[in-house]
Amino acid sequence: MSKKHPIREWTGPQRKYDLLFEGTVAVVIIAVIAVAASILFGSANGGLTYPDGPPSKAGSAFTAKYWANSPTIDDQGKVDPKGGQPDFVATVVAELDGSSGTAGYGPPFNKTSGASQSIGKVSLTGIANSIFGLTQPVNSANDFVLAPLSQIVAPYDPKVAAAVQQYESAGGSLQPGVAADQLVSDQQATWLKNYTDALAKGSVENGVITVPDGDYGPVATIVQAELNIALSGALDNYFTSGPNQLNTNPFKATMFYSDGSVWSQVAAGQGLTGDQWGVMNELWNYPGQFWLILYAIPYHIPAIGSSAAADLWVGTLVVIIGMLVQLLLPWIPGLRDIPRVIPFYRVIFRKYYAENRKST
Amino acid sequence: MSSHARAHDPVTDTGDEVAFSWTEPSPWVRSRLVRNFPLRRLLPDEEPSYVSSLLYVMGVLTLAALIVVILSGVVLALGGVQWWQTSSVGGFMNSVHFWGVQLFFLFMAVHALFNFFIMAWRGGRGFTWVTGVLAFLLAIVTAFTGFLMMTNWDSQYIAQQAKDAMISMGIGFIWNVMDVGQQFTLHVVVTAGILGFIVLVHLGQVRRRGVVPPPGEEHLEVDVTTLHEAGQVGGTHA
Repeated sequence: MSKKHPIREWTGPQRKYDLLFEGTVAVVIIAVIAVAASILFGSANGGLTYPDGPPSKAGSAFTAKYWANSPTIDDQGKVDPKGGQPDFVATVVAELDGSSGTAGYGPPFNKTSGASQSIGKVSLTGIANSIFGLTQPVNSANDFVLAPLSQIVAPYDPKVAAAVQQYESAGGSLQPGVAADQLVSDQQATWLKNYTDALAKGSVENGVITVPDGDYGPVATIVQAELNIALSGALDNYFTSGPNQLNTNPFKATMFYSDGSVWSQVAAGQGLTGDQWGVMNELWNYPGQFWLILYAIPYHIPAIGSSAAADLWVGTLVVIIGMLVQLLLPWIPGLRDIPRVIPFYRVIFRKYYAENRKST
Repeated sequence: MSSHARAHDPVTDTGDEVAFSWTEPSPWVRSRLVRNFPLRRLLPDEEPSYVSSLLYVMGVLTLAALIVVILSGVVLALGGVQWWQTSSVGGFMNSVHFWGVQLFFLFMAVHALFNFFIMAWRGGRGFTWVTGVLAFLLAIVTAFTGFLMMTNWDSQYIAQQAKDAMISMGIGFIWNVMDVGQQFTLHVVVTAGILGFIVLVHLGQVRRRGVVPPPGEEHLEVDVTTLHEAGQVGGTHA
């Protein structure tokens, strides 16, 4: 006796059907729709242009140059047309003194502790960190400010070369991935604090930072030089090229740019932020990744959205609901019975039932 | 015709009971393929009469959209990694690729809902459902890497936002969504490749098991051996 055969046959009524014919027609139909939509609507490639922002070419990426030339918009919607440069300068100081988002991120970028998301005592970031270590080490002071100045400006500007040298020899680790509190020595912290206070009384306009005299050490020279290379575009070129190879990994640029406030302001202006359902939005009115709706919804549940571990909560929910429940649905009592409670299939098969099942 | 007579097929050189062997696995694999995926099932002439709703076309339309996406993707790959930013032809192919993906997910969503409401997992079709969901999840990952490699502001912002989710789940230590080069290689080789494989397995399962009968009509699906023994080789007219 042979084993039960894996193939089962339908013995009820049949109809003519050809898969290859249907498939070919389907491909033609889809190709026609996709080409027609492309001719009529194109696709989103809006660049950075946003309400109140300076225009940018289609397909542009965010750059320090755009940042420094952008206005800023405060919480009340008030526009400061020259806000970009002060925002850039404040961010540069934050990268140096370790108070920026990047410096405080923790693994996999640096050893800053206490920043990783956890539910109770469970931190997947912590577990991954103990296995892999810092896989993308960043030293915000060196990678974003000191190293670019050393490479781009110092060879041609002895004053900046001396300033960088003086800053580096005042302590503060240049090692990749050190914790935020290792980035500055006491001396550097004092200079940066004095400089930050002075910025509040001074001005940043047309590429020139003006502050009252004070004890800033080399900081004023360094920050001014960084603003200069941002405005010239040299800083962006530094980030998008590599010292040894062609660079296809511009993640440090992304980290630096996003530490400023113009970054999220552009996103908000284009409707891309999380509270604007940006997870599934595309620029303007284009459909985006609408299939991420399951992933977007949990962020809008107040208890989750406002949690410090929001991403971890959402990720966990998505794994459970979006993956496991979906995969195992045929074996989950209750869920698998929904179609019997809402018998939509009776509508779908009404013709078949009417013709073949006189009893129903 | 008895089942014993089918134990050796002179054309395929396979039969019912081929034992697995580590040193000679080919006969076992061959017999599994021939038993599970007969050509008359892969390319049928007929389908059950209830397969007559437009909703049954959603799966084929999803597949058709995938084919359009792959073809436009191949053209984009030939153009290079910034072609769509530097030429109008590249931009147009980018649009075709984009709209193909939108159609793909749209039809897939309807296809999934339809199969949920007809409980398409009945009659031993659970694995078909599982491979379908896997294809959906992999399609999400593939589309995601596509959005991350556009080399414009949009992809920069998506990457910067998504990194938090990836890192919070521990995945971000290996998969750095801000690394554009990694997204290129993942998108065109790894995720697309695995997706293609899963879709093939899904299609194979759909053809092998056949279209699920309407609820209440399950008894009309019969073990093929029974048909053989009754002299009715499978796939005959009702």
